[in-house]
Amino acid sequence: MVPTTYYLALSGILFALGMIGVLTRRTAIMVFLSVELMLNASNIALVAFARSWGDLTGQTAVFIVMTLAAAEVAIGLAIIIAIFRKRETTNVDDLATLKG
Amino acid sequence: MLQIPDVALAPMLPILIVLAGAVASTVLGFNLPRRALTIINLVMLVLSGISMVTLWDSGATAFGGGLQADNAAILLGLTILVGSIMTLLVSLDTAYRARVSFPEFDAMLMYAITGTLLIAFSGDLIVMLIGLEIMSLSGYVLATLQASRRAEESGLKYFLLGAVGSAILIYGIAFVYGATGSLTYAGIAAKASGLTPANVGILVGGSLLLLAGFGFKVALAPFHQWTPDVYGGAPTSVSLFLSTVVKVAAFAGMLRVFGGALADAPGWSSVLQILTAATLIIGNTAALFQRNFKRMLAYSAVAHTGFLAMCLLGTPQAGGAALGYYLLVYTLMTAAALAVVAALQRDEMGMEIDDLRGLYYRHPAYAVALAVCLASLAGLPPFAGFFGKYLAFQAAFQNGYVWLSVLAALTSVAALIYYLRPGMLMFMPDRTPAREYPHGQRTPTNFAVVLGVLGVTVLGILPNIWYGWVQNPAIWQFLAGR
Repeated sequence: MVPTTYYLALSGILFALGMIGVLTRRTAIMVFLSVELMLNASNIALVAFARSWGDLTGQTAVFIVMTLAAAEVAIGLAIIIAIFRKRETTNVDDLATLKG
Repeated sequence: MLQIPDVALAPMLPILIVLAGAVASTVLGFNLPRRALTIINLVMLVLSGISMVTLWDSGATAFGGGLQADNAAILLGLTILVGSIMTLLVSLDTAYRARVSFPEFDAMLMYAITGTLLIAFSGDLIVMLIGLEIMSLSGYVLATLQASRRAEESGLKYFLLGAVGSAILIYGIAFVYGATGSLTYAGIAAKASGLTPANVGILVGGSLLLLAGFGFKVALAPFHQWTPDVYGGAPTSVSLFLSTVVKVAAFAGMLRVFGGALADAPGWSSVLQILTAATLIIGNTAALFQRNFKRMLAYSAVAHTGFLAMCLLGTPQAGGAALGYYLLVYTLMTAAALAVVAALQRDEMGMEIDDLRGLYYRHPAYAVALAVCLASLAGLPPFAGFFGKYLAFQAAFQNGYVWLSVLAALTSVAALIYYLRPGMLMFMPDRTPAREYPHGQRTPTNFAVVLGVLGVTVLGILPNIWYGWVQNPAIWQFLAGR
């Protein structure tokens, strides 16, 4: 049986990659995809912990997180498209009307 | 043998009534004008408030403790409803001018309120998460809904940073579950003491991730950057909603998680005191340099996050009572101030502070109302903001955070400057032509302003009208459920 630590290491690496993506990527779509990576990291952690506790609650929580992620995609892409229609770009550095 | 879940309708009723309003707006939006929908929704919110009052002292739960309608939930829920009603009243007049007067606006608002109530009534990290996401996702739409470059930019910023916050929060939930093997507040609280050293490490990591995630939602200092852009760029009635109801709900979640489930967990309180100190300093300093009144109110909301977070550092009994009182006062004064801005602004950028010069000679009633709100936000004695701040300082001070109380007192002196400057400008005579929208004085907005100003004044002179209800320590002792 694979030890839980391995799964946690995988989830930690995924979360870190997502975080790096959020901090370094400049396109709204890529930032958004990095967030999805972070969500999947939490799913892996939830499943790994559920296995080590021998408890199914964690696994059911994963279903809810997946649903939330899907809802977030729907709204996020709608917002990004609304922005793109007006400005022909989704670069977050170009969004600098609001300052101060 | 299949176990039938414990589904009780009574504790869910306040949430279901609001949800019914949301669904009705979605469906009836094809047939009815928006004004009719808003009035239906106002009735729904009042009904939901009545159903909450009938649940008082019942301690009812549903779904095996996943949803708990205890007195804490009811007090926080009523605060949320007050803010929501004021938002709807203001939107009756100003949504048309902001070009967001379509049924989707009401539907999204009601879905968001459903989510906020779910957070206040949650007894489980997953229920809290669902509520938080319903609230946030509707909030992103509300911020973007106006078809203008400013609103879309504020919506995208809110969405991207909010999504990052949610992802961090969910990772925190996974770690707290990993340390304790439970997702219910009661289960986490029961297992938080007496863990193996390895699990304590996981729990500390999880609670810090949760703190960071909530930090994004309530705008604690390193995570507050979106706040001025979103509150400043969104239509004013939406800013009103985001800065009152959404913040109250996020604090309700923090109170449930940190005051209930993780009350005995180590680590988070020492980080929270640093974040609070940073929030107080950054919020109050940045507000000093704002020229736009709406943006200044956004930074004032950040500063108030610091004062509100001080309540969480108190013991759950003292801190819960302080937070319960302060949240209502904060809702009333912020909502009333933004309602005046919504009525007087020419466009959704709000007003420049210099444009307030001589407001008293053009709109005396609004000027006095705004002055009362600003005095209360600054924490001047006859108004309720003073008592709220006093309770927050007291809660932190009694739990040993002396330096933080001193810092908070110092920053609230600095806050006097930026609150009193517009207050003084309003009463200075000015001969230049008016810079306000001339036809802004309408009954529903006036009603919201009167509600806020009266509430702030009455609660300041007779605080026990509300504090008498929230001060009972038994309410806040079992935030995690029994």
